[in-house]
Amino acid sequence: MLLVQSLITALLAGIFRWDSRCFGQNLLDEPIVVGMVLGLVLGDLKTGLYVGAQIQLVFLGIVSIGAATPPDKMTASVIGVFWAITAGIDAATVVALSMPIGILGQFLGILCRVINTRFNLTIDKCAAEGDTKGIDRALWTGAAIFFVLTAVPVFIGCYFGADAVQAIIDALPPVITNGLQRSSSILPAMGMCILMNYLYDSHYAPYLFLGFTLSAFLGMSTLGCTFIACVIAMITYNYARGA
Amino acid sequence: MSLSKEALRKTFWRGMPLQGCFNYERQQTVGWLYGLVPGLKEIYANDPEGLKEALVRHTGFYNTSPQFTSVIQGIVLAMEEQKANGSELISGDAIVAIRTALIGPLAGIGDSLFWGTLRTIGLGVGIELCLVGNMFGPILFLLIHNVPHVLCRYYGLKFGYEKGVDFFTSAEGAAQMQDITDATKIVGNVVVGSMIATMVGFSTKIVIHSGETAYPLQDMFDSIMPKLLPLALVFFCYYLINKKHVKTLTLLLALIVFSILLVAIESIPIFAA
Repeated sequence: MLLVQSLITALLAGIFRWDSRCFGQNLLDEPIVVGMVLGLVLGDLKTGLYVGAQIQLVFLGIVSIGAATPPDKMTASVIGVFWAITAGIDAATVVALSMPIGILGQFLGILCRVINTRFNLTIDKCAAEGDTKGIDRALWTGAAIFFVLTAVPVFIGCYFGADAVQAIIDALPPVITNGLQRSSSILPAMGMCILMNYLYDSHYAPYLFLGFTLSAFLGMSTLGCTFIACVIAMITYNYARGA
Repeated sequence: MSLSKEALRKTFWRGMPLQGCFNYERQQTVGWLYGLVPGLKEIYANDPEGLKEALVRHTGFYNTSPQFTSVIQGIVLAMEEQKANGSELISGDAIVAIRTALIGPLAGIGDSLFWGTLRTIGLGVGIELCLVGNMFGPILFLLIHNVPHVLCRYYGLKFGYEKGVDFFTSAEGAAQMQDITDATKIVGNVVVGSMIATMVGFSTKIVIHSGETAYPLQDMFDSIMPKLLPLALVFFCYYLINKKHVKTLTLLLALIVFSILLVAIESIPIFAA
C-alpha cells in the first residue's frame, strides 16, 4: 500500500514540477494546491488542506523569479502532506520540517539547471542547421531531467522518510519540538515582509493599514477586504485614466 | 499580418513550456526558441537560409515573466514577417534589440502583477478557506491567478502580433501599464495588511508576577490594540531585510531560534501562569 501511494505521489510531484516548466506556470505547485490534490488522492482531504495551508504560510514569500532558485516549497509540501496523511505525523511537526526539506529540494533544482546548460550547445547547432526537430528534443530532454530529479527524490522521501523522521522527532527534547511548532505560526511574518518587497512602499502604506485595520479591529475576512480593495482600485484606475 | 490561425495557435501552446529547459547560462532561451518554431517555419517557408538565420538570431539570452512571453512572441513574429517581406527598416539586429529591450520591463510588470499581486490576493483568500477545511480555497486561488494569466497569454499574443511594437514603445502604452500595475498593487497591499492580522500567529504566554497579582503580558498588548505583536514583527523583519540587508535565510533561522527561546522562557516558573 505504502509502495503504491509513494509511487503515485512521486508521479504527481513530477507533474506539479512540470506546471512551471511545461504547462505555463499555473501555480499548481503551490502548497495549498498540492495539499488539496494529495488529500483527495490519499483519502484525507481535511488534513491535506490544513497541512498544505500551514506549509504555504511558511513559504508565503518564496517565489522563483529570474535566475534565483529558492527553497522548494512544492517538494516540501508533497512530502509533508504525505507524511501527515500516511504516517499520521502531527501537522505542526511537518510544517517545522518543511523548510529543511525545501532546502534539500533547492539543491536538486540547482542541479537540474546546471545540467540543462548543456542544451544551449545543442540548440546552437540545431539552429545553424535549421533542425527544428532537434530544438524540440533539446527542450523535452531538459524537461525530462526536471521531472526525474523531482519524482525520484520524492519517492525516496515518501517511502523511506517517515520512520526516520519520527525517530528523530522522538529523540529531540520537548523545548526544541515545541519551539519548532511555535515557529510555524511566527514564520509567516517573514513571508509577509517578502510579499511587501514586491508590493509595498510608503505610497501604498494607507492601503496596507486599511487591510490590517479591517481584519484586526473589525474581524473582516481577507476575502471581504479584497472586495473593498477592488472598489478602491477601480476608482483609482478610472481617476488616473481620466474617466 | 499574414500568419495563419494554425501557426498562431501553435505559437500559443508552444509558449507554455518556456521554462522546460531552464538553465543558469541562458535561462529560458531553449523554450523561447521552441515557441518561435511554427511561426518562423511559416514565415520562411520558401527560404531555408532565412529560417536558419532567424533561428540563430533567437538563441541568445532570454528571460521574462512566463505570463507575458506571448506578447513578445507576437511582437517578434510581426517583425520577422516584415523583415521576410523585404522591409528595409527592420534588420535582424533590430529584432534582437527589441526582444532584449522588452524582456526586462515586461518581467518587471509581470512579476509584480502576477507574482506579487494576483498570487498574493489568491493566497490570502485561499489559505483562509483551507484552514477551515473548505476545498474551494485552492480552487479560488487558481481561478484568481489563472483566469487573468490565460487571458493575458491569449490576447497578449494577438495584441503583440497586431500592434505590439507601437504600443510598447509609446509613452501612452507605458502609462496605461503603470496605471494597471498601480491599481492591482492597491489590492495586493490591502490583502497583505489583512493577512498580517489573520495569519501571523505571534503571541506570548509570559506572565509577570507582582506581589499577589499576575499580569499576563499578552493581555497588556491586547488592551493597546489587537494584533500588535504580528504587526510589529512584520515591520521589524521588513526593516531588517530592506534597510539592514539581512539575508532571508539568516532571518528564517533567527526566527526559528527566537521561537525556541520563547518557548523556553515561557516554561521558566517565574514567567509561567
